[in-house]
Amino acid sequence: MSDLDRQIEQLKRCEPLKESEVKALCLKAMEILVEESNVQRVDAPVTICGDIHGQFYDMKELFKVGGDCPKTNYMFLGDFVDRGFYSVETFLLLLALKVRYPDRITLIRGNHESRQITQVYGFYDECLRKYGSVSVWRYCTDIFDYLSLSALIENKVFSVHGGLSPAISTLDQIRTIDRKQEVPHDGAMCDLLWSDPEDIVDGWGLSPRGAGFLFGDSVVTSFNHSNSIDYICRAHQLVMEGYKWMFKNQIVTVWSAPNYCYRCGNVAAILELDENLNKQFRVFDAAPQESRGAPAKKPAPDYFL
Amino acid sequence: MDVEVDDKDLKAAGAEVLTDDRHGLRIHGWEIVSCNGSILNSSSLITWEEKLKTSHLPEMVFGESCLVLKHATSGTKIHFNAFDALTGWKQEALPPVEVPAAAQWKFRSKPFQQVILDYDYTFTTPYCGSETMEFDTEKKNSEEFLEASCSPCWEDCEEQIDVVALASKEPILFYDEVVLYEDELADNGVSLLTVKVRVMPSCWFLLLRFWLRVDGVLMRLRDTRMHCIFSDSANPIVLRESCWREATFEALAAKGYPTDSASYSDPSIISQRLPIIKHKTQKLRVGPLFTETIKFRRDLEDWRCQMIYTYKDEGHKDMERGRNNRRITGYCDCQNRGLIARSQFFRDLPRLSPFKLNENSIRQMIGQVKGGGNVDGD
Repeated sequence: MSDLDRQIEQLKRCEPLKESEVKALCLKAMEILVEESNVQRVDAPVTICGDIHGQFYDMKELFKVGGDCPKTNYMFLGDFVDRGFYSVETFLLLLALKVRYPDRITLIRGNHESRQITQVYGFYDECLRKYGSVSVWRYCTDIFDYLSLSALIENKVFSVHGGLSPAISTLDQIRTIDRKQEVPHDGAMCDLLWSDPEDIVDGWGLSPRGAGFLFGDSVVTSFNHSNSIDYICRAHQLVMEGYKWMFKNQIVTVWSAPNYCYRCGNVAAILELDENLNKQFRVFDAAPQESRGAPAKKPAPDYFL
Repeated sequence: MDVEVDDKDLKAAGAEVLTDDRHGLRIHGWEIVSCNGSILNSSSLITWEEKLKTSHLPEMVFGESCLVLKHATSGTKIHFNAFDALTGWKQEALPPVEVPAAAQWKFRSKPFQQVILDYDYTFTTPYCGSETMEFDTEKKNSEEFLEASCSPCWEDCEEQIDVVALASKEPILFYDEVVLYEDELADNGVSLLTVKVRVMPSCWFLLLRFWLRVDGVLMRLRDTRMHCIFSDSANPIVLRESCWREATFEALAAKGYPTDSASYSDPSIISQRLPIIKHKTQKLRVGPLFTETIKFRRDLEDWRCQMIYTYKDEGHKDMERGRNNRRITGYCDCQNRGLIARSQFFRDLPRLSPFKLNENSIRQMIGQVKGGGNVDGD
């Protein structure tokens, strides 16, 4: 058994790798990812997965439902890390699978795959806690910069973490982005990872936060038309039912973190496309309590004041 | 709650754990129940949006979750739920807070038309709990016809919550934390409304906390604490303390505090750094705010019903009128024969019925009274 296979087995048991192993794995991953396009071409059949957010044991449920990699081809739409308890193991397992089976798994960047966001929402602290230093966080966040921004399945299904950008009307415009950087605060790359479809706007809308685009029905219609695609598949937003179509089936949100943050009670979904692009959503629940190791118990009573 | 509570402690305190499906206990005339459910599904979300007249709700609304504290003898019910809290958010309707990146975005001029949404995406709410009066059916159907109108209200007071007593480590007989709603502000911070409760042998204490952090911009902490020391009196004494704190990251930087968001993940640790902008202590008053007299009068062949409100406190008048009907419950302080009519017919009507009476229904009732032969004209 190769080192890599052994590492994959270890990660499947939710045991993190040694720091030196992470470093080596990231170097190998970098060589593969650097070759990928901003609009990575993907063949069907493929199974599309949304946000995971460090919910390692729930991702194992996902693989139970969808089949193991490489038997099943996978595409993950980003947000592997933050919020959950096992961001390190989750991301490293996906990355190890990527290195082992580069053509069988596609990893797209989410807005959480960023230095700034991970310092606030959990991944940084988790690395520090599990390794006693921030080196592993550095290796991983350096790799984030190499992750592709989107994918195109059989020229018909466009996949991205967040959504569209007013700066982009053709896929070629995405191809020209220099992606090897921290996610910027504005511009096309930022929008692809951050924007949301919104029912109550038709064209473009600006979030009340003053930053962040919302896009409506007509935007999606014209994007899909001019790029000859059937629909857009994206993640980024929690949906109680695991997936949600909008704008007359022109865009679908897929969410793959069941019982999000270990308390929302939502189901998760993955989208299976067969070789003819026929769709099937597979909905699944969170891993049962007993199989998920340590946390999840309610906090002990405290004498709060 | 998976926490083990010592049976001996419960017994010694005279507390009784609920044995039905509910999660809670009874102690000194109080029934305290908590419920933790899932977030609203898509169809319930739509219903809530319609009811609240909004197209935006927090991404995680725990619509079925609640904490309820009910005092049997007084009928006082204090409860916490997401719907009432979001009603408060809608009413307060603060202007949106711009994130730091917004400044750059302003220069990102675009020729296309843009809709700028301007609702308060932080879901800041002035909510400090809901209170109603609820009597057991048994009491409602009793033959008592003089029932005080009770709408609980909070009055400012000088007393303070006894923090020293609360610091003593009495055994905790019941503890829970209920999240009412939460939003990640699209990864620009956190907006979180939770309520925690602990019940000890001598008292119960709860903390309702609205916590908001807009990364790089501001933090808001709106705490409501309630404390009730158990007693045998018919009306419980509940103290409520509201404390609102707020600070911008800029102001914190000026004081030399760190300004990275990661330093502000737990509000209980950093609350002291945020200056108090509003503070008050109040006491729950259970009792009639006003009485209503219903007079029946014969006007030629027609009977007329007249309702007279006598307010105990003029200051509450507008407030009461502005309130929802359901809060204003049945009551009667009749000195005339209308009393008979009420005793026979009003008591079985819904409690808000006097507000719905039209002349026809009055005639109908009077007709019944006349038929019974019990009432003459004035």
